[in-house]
Amino acid sequence: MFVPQGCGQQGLDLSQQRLAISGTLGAYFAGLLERDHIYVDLAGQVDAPAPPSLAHLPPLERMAWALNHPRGPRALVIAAEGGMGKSTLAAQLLRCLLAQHDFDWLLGDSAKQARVDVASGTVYPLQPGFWSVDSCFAHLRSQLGLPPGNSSSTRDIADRLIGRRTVIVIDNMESIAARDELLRRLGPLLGRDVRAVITTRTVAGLRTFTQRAMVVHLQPIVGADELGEFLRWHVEQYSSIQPFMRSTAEQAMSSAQQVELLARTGGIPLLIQLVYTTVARLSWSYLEALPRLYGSELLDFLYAERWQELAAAGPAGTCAQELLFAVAKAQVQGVRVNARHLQEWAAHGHTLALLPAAIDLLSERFLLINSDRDAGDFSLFPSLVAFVLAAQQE
Amino acid sequence: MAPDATDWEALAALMDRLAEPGVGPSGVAAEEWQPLAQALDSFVAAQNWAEIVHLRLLLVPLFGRDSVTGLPLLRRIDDCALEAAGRLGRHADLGHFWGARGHNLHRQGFHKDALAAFQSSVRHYTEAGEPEPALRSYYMQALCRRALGDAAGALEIVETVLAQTPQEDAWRGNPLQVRAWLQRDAGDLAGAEISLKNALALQAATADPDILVAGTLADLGEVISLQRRGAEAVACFEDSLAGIRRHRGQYNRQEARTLLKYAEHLLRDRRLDEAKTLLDAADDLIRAHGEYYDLMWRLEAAYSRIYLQRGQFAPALSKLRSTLRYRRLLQLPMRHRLRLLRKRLGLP
Repeated sequence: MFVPQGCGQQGLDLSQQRLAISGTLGAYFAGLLERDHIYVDLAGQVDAPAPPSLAHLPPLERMAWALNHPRGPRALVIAAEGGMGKSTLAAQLLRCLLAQHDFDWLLGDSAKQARVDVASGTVYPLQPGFWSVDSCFAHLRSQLGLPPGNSSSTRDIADRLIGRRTVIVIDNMESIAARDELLRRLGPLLGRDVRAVITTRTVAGLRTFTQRAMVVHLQPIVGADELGEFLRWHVEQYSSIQPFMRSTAEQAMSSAQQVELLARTGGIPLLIQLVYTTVARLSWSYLEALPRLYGSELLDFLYAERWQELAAAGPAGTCAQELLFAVAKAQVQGVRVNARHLQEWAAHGHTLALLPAAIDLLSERFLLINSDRDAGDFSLFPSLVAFVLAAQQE
Repeated sequence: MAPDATDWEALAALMDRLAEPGVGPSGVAAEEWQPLAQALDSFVAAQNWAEIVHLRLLLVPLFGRDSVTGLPLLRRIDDCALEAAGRLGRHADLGHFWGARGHNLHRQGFHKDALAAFQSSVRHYTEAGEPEPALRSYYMQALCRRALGDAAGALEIVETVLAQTPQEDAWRGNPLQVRAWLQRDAGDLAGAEISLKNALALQAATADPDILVAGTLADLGEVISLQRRGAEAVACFEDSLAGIRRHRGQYNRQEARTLLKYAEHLLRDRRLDEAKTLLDAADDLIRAHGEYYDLMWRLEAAYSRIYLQRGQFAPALSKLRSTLRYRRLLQLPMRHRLRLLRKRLGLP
């Protein structure tokens, strides 16, 4: 096999790079790089084109081949709507490439959804498209030990990259204004030794670039087998914090339930996780009561529904809402939230006694992910970060 | 997490954590800095100058080591502390803060600004009636003058300082080290070796010798390497790295400096692949947080030399261009620039 089985399943030790990566790619992406077993390979989910000679390879291997081959595409674009797992797939690929020492450097930027004034802690939501090309390249320069530059030339970056196999990650490119300008400046940097991995919700308007790139689309889960495999992975990953899922998982889903779950969620992995968690907590009748919304509308509905549940859950629920905001704010700042951070936060707000209950409320609603049972490593899905910050502004 | 205005215990604990060997400021996430930022903001808003000075004094270990001095937050704290100490008329603190700023500017390669900072430091220490730290800030001006091509001015300062420092004072090792650099610059390698060995003997007797000794060992290795005694040179470099790595994460710039000198030794032996491996390691240590442009141009020059010796002229030219870009930023004098550059590239 070109890529060993299980490649990328082990998390990376970011070590001395943690501050740099969390500050530019964000705490969520940095967490994806560090956690074990973030990804489950489902048949038909990843649509990665390949020449006939490589069609037999699994999608992840095709992508790795593309980025490694001297004449392979200089950029890999992962396109899908929110909740499909673009960042997860990108992180899995990068983990594999870095673990195999196929690349030396990981640089990049993640377009932010909000800006936090570090001194005052005030959060300013950003309009889509705010994150600029100049700020993206400023981040790249700072990661390379270059002084801030104010010209559109990237010759200084190119000279620094000589001799180092580098992958440049642009996460959430749809949030960047003037994407054409970004790609125009990025293009000359790419070559045999420097490749780009870009995640985006849409490739519309990028035809010229994508003709030279490998475009990978994520497909919704449509089959019962794939759904079952995905849910088994979900239960395995999260049952330690959501033990009620085990009893639901032990009862085989009926065909009707499988069909209904896929139909209501559109097969979007994050929506499946949110809905299944609630079904496990309440009952399958929850599924029938879901409004007929799809995609991002359903996602917003599910988040709003949980937000209202928290509001009605007394002091622990209020604490949980405030905790969500604190974690969302930290995530936007590029920080990781561990157990000590939460305890200090709760102590400062005199809610230490409510903290365990608040965390339980959030965990059982699949709103707070903890990837480290010992030291704690808490994060929110990026879409939830946007929802929480918007809710706090109202 | 916003600490109370008087939650100094939490801030001190934070500083201890950031100063842990094996962790280092680069190894923690951005959240760890938040309490510092919020404390500063509250003190500034309240115009609590004494607390600002107190906060800056808490950060002495971070400013004294060299792994993240490019962080905007640390620069902001330093700026506010200078203003606060000025308002309070605390000349001793001003002498200290200007001296520390000079050290960091010098490490980054902004030697003219560093020189001005050390001159301010001397003035304030003198005003505060503290001759010994004033002498040390005066001594640091020698490093800046040498970097700017003023060897005669640097030597005058070094000899003046040595004349005022008792023979038995362990700190004497520092000006001896700079004398060694000047001797090496002038081609007196044997004299430089003697000066460095004398410096080592004194520095080893200080209370916390690891980093001082590591820096001098790297210089000694370089001088011995230039005299073509390879095995001895390698021993010096390895001992230097061992000393620095006992404080892993805290002295990234020093570690990169030793790796660079080690790589240059290997280049002299045309062991190009091994040299590149060390340069890559040095690059990874310093590129992200310190803005150590003075070291960056030396790294790029070494890379250029590797590519030149491999016959890869396009990448050699790219790295030369990168070298010159950094040197233009640092406003290094042209004649001095070219002389040092020729030396770094191994050209006659």
